[in-house]
Amino acid sequence: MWPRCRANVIPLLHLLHSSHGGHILTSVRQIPEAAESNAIPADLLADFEAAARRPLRQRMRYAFIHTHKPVLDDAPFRAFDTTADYRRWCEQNLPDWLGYGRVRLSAG
Amino acid sequence: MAAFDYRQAEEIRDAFARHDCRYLFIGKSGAILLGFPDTTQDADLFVDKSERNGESLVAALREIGFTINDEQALQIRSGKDFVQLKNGPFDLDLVFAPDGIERFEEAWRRRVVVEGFPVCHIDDIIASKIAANRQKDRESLPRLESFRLYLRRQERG
Repeated sequence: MWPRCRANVIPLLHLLHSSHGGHILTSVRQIPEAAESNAIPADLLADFEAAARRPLRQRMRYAFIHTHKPVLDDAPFRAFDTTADYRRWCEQNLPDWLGYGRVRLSAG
Repeated sequence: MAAFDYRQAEEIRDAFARHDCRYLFIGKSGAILLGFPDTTQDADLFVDKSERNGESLVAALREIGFTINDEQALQIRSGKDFVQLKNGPFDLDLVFAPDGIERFEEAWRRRVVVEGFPVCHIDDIIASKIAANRQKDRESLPRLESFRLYLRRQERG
């Protein structure tokens, strides 16, 4: 049994103005549950239902892949004092195309 | 290195239980355990940050086959927020302070157990991805939001 979610609401991305002149996704805004009806795209619903019919062992075999990630995979151990330090390290050291950089939206 | 698989997840589950280590699967690996059909490259564990749990964690990781020297063990036990392990049978990220989740205890109360695997609630997985706000998180969020709706429908029958 899934625990009931707080107030049965759908979180939406909420844009907050950042000190860097852009916007960062930092929080959630919520709308009433009634709005969620039929909100799942048909192709995704079919994916979810197909996955639910497979045993977990099989789903994991399909889900986990391994490819070499430059820089990230080149050290056997890294430890960061804070999660912010880790995020910063990723932005400064990893290729952009790996997708570890934080998203900033231009203002206005 | 081969990709993470069910047997390795079982090794985590069983070794961590033997050492009484408190943790939760989080991130996309957690969502996959909940039934989310997508791909990812490694497993992420949200680990309770305490000295005793840190000692249990190091013992469990060594038992599974991670090569952790004394200096690294000290760093894991001493309260680092994020540790990346690529010195074992599979890649593993240890997250002690995920973005978007205030306290381990809160996530633990909301956890979902799937075949014995303790997993963060989908609300917490999504909250952490929203707060992390990386490009790769942004790309997976719409599917994750739809998956959350699907789970709610399943819950309501």
